[in-house]
Amino acid sequence: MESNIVAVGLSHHTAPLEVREKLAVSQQVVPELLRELRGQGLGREALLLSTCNRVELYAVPGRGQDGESLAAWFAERNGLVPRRTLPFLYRHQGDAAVRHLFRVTSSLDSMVLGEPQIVGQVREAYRVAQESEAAGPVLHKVMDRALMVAKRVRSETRIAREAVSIGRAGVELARQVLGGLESRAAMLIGAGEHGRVVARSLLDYGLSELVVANRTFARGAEVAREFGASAIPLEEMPRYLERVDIVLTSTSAGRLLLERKEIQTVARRRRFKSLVLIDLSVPRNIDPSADDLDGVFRFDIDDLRQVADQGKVAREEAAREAERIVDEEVEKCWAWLAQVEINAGIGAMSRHAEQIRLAELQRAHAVLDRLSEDDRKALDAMTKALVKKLLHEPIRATRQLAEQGDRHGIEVLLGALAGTPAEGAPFQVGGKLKEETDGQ
Amino acid sequence: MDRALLIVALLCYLAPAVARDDGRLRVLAARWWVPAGVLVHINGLAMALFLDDVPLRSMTEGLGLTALVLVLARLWFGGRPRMAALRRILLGLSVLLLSIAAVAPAPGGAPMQLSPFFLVHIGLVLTGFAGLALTFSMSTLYLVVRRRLKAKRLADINRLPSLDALDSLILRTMLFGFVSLTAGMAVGFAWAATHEVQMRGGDFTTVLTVAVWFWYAIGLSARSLAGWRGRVSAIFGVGGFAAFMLITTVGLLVAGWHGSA
Repeated sequence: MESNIVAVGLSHHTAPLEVREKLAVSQQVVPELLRELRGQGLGREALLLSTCNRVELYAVPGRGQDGESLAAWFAERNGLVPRRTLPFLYRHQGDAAVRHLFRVTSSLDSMVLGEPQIVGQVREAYRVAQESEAAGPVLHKVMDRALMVAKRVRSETRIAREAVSIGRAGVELARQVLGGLESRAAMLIGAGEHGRVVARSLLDYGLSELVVANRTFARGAEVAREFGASAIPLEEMPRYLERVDIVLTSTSAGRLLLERKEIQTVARRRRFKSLVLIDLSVPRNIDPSADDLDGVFRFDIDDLRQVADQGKVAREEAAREAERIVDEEVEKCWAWLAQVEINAGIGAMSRHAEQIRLAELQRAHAVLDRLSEDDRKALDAMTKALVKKLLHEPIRATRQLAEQGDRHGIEVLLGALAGTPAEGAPFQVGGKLKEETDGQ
Repeated sequence: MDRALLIVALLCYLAPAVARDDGRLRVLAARWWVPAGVLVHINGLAMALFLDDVPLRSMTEGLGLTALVLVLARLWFGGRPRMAALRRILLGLSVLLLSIAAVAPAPGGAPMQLSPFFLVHIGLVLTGFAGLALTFSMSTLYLVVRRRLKAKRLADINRLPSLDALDSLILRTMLFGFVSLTAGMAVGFAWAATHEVQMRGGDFTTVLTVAVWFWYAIGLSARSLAGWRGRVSAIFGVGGFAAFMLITTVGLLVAGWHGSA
């Protein structure tokens, strides 16, 4: 099928963090991957979405390709063993792929229902696909609709009113203590996923300065570059504690990095100025007994979840309404894609008929060699009219079947009229794979 | 101040709390009854100013003025969603002050000689008192928010004002109250000197006012010099005003303004 769309990927629903980390793609390499995918003929159009909670590929497969071949390519990247990664991958095709994209963009598939970041991430992925010339007519249409659906869901339901992501929860807690973040400085210790998410949110909400301290300085410098921040060696961390208002820890150290005594000294030197400690590590890096120190406010990942979960019931109710919007929009979008396919099918059928007409005309010319130029023209016109009249009724019937939504009928009709289901002529509607159709 | 008007204002302020329905009734009560109460309140105060022989000389009028300032502050914070808790505290405190005012005894003894100095003195001291009542409200809320953050009761925490914003409000209202009180005291002493009034060491209100002045002077100096802020500052704001209110209420119920001087 020419315009079949496929979604392959994994998310926090299907894969643990370790697997997601291995398949994660940095923004810098996305254009190269899209080029590789198209160069190998795996997809004619493609878009890669990589966030902390999901890695997904949306593609219009190349000839002879399908969801399985794309999944295999996806799983083999970074030298991974497909056998180990394939079980975590989901594959959606046709309207299921469109529905998945719409749900993702509307944050119905997010860890925190209604969180706002995902729309920006999808938009960014689309921009990269456009710049890499990997987005074609199908992806343009589907992505435009996806962003429109997200807008509808946000404006027509209450889903976003109380939505708080983990990053935003960190911001909320910091702001609850410190007020505005415009003149505040923060230190990120470690380079863990959650720490980076919260740091990014703090910067988005106006944090003026960020310092990154990491055990491996090079890694810290890399993270700092990502945020436009400065990096320091981990040994210098105590010196910076007095200067910052927020400390984020996100490491795999597995032990306390900030003991109560050290925090107490820092709090005393800060002369009652509030210090927010956000410990995102498991096991924790900040001594919980620091809770009772004056001017010190310590929060861990469970506290952030508590904030993120607020309004959960209201959001779940809104999500049901949002699903209805998604259903409605999937139907509209899929009708458009089906129309594109039907037109392509009719085109293939017409080309097939024209090939037959030309072949027959050539045979006739060999026998009727004494025909004048005018006779030849008349014969040409007559055969053209004959083909046109013969195809008129099937084309009308196809369009009628399309209006009735009888995709199977269209498939059978066009398949029969287009001759053998050879490459270029086959017709599949409703996202069914060629193999599935063949197997029927 | 006419007690009947004061009681009507008090009932209007109580309406949002009494309207238990969390829908239209409460919204209507908050939107219309409180402003209506303010109008009645101002009317009562104006009557006292124009009709009484010595305005604001009674405890009823003094507390009435303070309560009015608190309700006006409550209306000032009206459109800010994060200030809902502060609005409740302000309204609650004004209801408390008005309730005390409603049962306070009428001023006794011979009327004092009316003088512009005297009026300015009382006006400034009461304004200072109202400023410190605002400090008390902000400080109370500060301690509530801090307690919730420390106890990790974080659901809907973002509906409360931030600690930083409250700390800043505490400082501003404390400064406002302190400056007004200082000016009022200065005018009072000047008036006493001009009129050769004997300031007896045992004058209850004078001693109390000076004690309050020292309390807040210490608080503000410590903030400026030693960096006292946050919880310490809030405890200062709550403790100072609570003690002041308790002593004033008990003392004045017994003796009246300036020991019925």
